[in-house]
Amino acid sequence: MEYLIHILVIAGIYVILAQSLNLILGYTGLPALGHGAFSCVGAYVSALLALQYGLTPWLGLIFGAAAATVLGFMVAVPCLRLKGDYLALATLGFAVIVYSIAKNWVDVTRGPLGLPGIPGFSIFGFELSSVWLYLALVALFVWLTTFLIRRVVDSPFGRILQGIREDEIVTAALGKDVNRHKVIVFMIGAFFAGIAGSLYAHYITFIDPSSFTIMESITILLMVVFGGMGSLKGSFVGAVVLVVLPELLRFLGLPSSIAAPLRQMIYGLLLVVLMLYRPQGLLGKFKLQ
Amino acid sequence: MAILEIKNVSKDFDGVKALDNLSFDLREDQITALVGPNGAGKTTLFNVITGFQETDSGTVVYKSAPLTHLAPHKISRMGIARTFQNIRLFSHLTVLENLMLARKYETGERLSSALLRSRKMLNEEKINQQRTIELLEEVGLSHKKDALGNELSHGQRRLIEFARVKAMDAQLLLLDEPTAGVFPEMIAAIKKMILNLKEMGKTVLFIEHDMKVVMDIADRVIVLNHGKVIADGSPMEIQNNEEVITAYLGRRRNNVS
Ligand SMILES: Nc1ncnc2c1ncn2[C@@H]1O[C@H](COP(=O)(O)OP(=O)(O)O)[C@@H](O)[C@H]1O
Ligand SMILES: [Mg+2]
Repeated sequence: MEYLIHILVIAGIYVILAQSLNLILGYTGLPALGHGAFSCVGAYVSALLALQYGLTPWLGLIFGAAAATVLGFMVAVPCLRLKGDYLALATLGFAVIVYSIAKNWVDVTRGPLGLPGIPGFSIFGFELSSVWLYLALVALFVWLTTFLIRRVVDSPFGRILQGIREDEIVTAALGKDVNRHKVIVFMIGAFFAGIAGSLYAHYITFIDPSSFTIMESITILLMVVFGGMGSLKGSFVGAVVLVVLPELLRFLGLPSSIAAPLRQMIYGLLLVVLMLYRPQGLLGKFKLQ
Repeated sequence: MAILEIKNVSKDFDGVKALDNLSFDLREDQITALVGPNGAGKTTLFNVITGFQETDSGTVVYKSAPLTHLAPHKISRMGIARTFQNIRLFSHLTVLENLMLARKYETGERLSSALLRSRKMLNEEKINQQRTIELLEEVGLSHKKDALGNELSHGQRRLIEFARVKAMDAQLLLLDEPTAGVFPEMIAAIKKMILNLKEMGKTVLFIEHDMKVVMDIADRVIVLNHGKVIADGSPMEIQNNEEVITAYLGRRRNNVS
């Protein structure tokens, strides 16, 4: 049972990641492939503040999210001049840079050794040691993320984002500041990814760069595409399915040495099948361009 | 008074002079037709005025303010609206959303308004929705308000684009071939709508290939060829202009070869 709850906690964290990427990718149409970089920054900032300065994870989460937001700004501004595949590659490049920093800035991040012993969240001095309580915490953040991103997209502001996705030129001709909206949307997406990273760090209590590889970013991307671009429900379903599905392998009794690579193969296969038979994803209305 | 001044504007594409030291003024409250053979530089002029293309030299001045280096959205907000030759509706947005995006908001479009669901935003949204539905009724397509942009016929798309440019409440409207590819009955309707814009005190510059339309509604005709004005006058004057006739015959000859 505990294990099942653990899976749900992880799924919840991915829901936050997928929905925040969907805001950038599905609603605004910007092919940002390095979403893992934002959660990486959120996780490391939050973990380091707790380990080095004894800062409570609650504040760490806020600082982590803020740091990710700043990174979102730093990624967005130079990327404004890029479109399509070039934008995708540049954002991937940023993710590689962030990953390398986590791996090679040994003085701060301890590199591949990672950061063990990250304290968990606590309420009134009681640590949320039970996985049930942690699930409640993550569920709260999932709800908050969904609530806020839903408000963003269901508004005149969100309509501009969708206009940008459909046709930047016309959106500008209608008097909307396309660049400004792109930067803001990157920052919002990064903010929530930062929260997810922080939640992850304080839950697992150990992080190392291997949790934030390109494969990680691709997984989040796959969740969005699988669930459907421009659908928050789709991202919810996509994240849950893609987290839970590989775990079923374990119940089949496969050892983890086989289950882990199999997981990636399942993702790959899923992607191929999806592109062939349902390119708009489960609940999406339109295709990846 | 001149609302728009084109001053010695040149624009070169890899040696092709799309606009060649072009100058003219637009008077307020007039309908001006911009005609000329394909490749004459008409659309390029629209792109330059609306900030989508930088000029190589020369300036565009709108209501005494130079538009040089201004971003398209700023130029749009100053009161210049445009349509596109190849009708660019937002395919996956509804007709209503297509028009709502053309409306100006005071604070309702801000991120903070979205997050807080401010009363101001909801009010602005309601007002704009009402106005938008009126515009849809004017073009006879209010029953299509929930259809997606890519679910309309060509003629309907033209009408929605017309309604959208009107929704911008701009002072100067640049229409790029507003009647291209639509049925005769619809051409008549569009002509009426353009005349109606003038009655509302708007200034219209429209690109048109159908000379009948030009003769019927334009107060003034500017003929462009190779990026230069080759004739400028009333529809009557233009009709009998030697150079204009040659430019068009020249085009026809080129097309055959
Ligand atoms: N973006 C561009 N890149 C290169 N050449 C262009 C571009 N836009 C227009 N041109 C060229 O400039 C000339 C004028 O084109 P355009 O303004 O579209 O003509 P019109 O609208 O009068 O038919 C043509 O020779 C066209 O090929
Ligand atoms: Mg043209």
